[in-house]
Amino acid sequence: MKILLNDLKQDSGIDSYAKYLIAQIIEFIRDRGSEYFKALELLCRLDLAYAQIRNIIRDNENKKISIEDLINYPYSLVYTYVPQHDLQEREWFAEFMDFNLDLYLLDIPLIPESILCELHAIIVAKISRSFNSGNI
Amino acid sequence: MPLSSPKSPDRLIAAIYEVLYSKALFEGVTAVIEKELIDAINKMQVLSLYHRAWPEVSKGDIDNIIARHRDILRKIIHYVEDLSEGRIFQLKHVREIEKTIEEAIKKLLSKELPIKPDINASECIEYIIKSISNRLSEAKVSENQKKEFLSIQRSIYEKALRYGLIVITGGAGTGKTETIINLVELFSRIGKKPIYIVTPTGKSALVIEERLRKRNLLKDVAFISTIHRLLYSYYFEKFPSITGYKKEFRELVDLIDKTLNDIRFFNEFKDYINRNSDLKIQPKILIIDEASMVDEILLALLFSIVNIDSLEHLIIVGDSNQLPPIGFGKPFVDIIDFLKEKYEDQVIVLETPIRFPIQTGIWAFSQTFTSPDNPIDVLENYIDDTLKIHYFHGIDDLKDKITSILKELLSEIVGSYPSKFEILDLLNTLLEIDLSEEQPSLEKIDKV
Repeated sequence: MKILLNDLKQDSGIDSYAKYLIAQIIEFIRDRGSEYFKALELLCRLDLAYAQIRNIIRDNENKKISIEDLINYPYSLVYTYVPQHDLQEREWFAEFMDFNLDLYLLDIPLIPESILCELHAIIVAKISRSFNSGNI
Repeated sequence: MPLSSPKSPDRLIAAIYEVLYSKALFEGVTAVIEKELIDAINKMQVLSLYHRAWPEVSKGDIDNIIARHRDILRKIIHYVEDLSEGRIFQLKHVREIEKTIEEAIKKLLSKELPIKPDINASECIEYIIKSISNRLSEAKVSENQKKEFLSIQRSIYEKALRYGLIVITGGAGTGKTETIINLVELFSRIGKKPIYIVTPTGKSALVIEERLRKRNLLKDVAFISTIHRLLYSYYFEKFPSITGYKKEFRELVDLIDKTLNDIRFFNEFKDYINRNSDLKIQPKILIIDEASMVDEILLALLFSIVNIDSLEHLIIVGDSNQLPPIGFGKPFVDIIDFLKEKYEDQVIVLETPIRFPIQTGIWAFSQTFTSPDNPIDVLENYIDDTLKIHYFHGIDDLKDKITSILKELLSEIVGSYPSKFEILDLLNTLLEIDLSEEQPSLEKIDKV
């Protein structure tokens, strides 16, 4: 964890606010059970904005969302998550915006469309082959 | 079955929630029958993305959820078995909102008040009826209309004192605003104060305020405004502070704001106001005008913030034939339907127009909005000096027709055909003009 936090501090390619949030997440899961890693893994799969991750952490601390429910019933986020309405100025930017968490948003990472997955695999394979053959 | 598979119960419960939430938010439908719910889930946009993986949801799937996952479902969704229509589903938050309205209505219905008004109150009613009769003497309506209007007015004032809750509904020109003004006079004369009047729109609040000012009754009303202003700025207006407002005011208004944005905050708001019940507003008389435009959230917030225990009379005024509110539910119509079952005496329907004589063109025109049995075609039979019908083809034709009608009307006033600018000028003057009492034909802010 310490190494991870150190690496994060030195990484100049990450926005300072994002650094702060990632550090917060790492701090949050430190010294906690393995279910927190599972929850983190799940949250990483979902394409959430900073504000949404911050809210989920806050809701967990306020006992509105339990980590157990989050892992076992990821779709429960649709009805347990409530977006924040007191938006700060910076939250008008897309990456900070807090949209509601709907079924569609959770479906994309949780049930990937097989056609798109196959297509993605073919494209990646082609690119890597071209890269190895020196065409790129 | 993995929880994130297309037909997992976890996902289906979330889908039910999402359909109910969007139906309530975008269509104002707060309760959905099972068949409609299944149809809506199957038509959800998400299906287009996963059409191959998503099998059609059937009644069996819903039965399965209810049989095996009742506990999770019950946490977020309220459902009842209805004999005629099958299951009816509702969001738990919406149910809480409706429960708040129901509880307030039931409390008001159970208030024990004297059946007959005391001598003082009876004298006040007589005085008010007499003054209405005097004002009506100049109105261009038939004697029968006047008589009918006066008899309904008398029953309104008697019922207003007898019951904790009355609902007054009526179409355009039937004297709803006039009744509100008279009720203010009645309650202030017998010393039932403070009186609060709230409306969903600023325009109707202004109309009442102006009418009260003319009758010199504005001083008797403690607060007259829109419901939103009452919810947002009541505390800051009533308790101005130099050193800073109380923390509780800010917290409460913040929760009101959040609830108006998202119904899921309603429980948090209600817990807060119940914990801090000293913050509740304490009117003795509360009048809600244009109630057909008030949605369930607004009404539930209003009923939570007002101390219903100390409230003696609630008078809800509106037009049940108007379009439903833009928001959750149609509480005004629901309250009327509920009262008609057991408390019919407390619903007063104003049918007699006092702004115009009956059987005239303008009367027939107003009737087309109140009843589906009066189609526009019938109006042809009522054409007289109060009503003309013009037909048009397309928007340009309509514009030309309106301009020519306006020119014709205005030429009667100015004597010659004016130019476009002169028309605009004249219209602005007409709206700005401060009409003296000798010419009470057009009021600055009243309905025209």
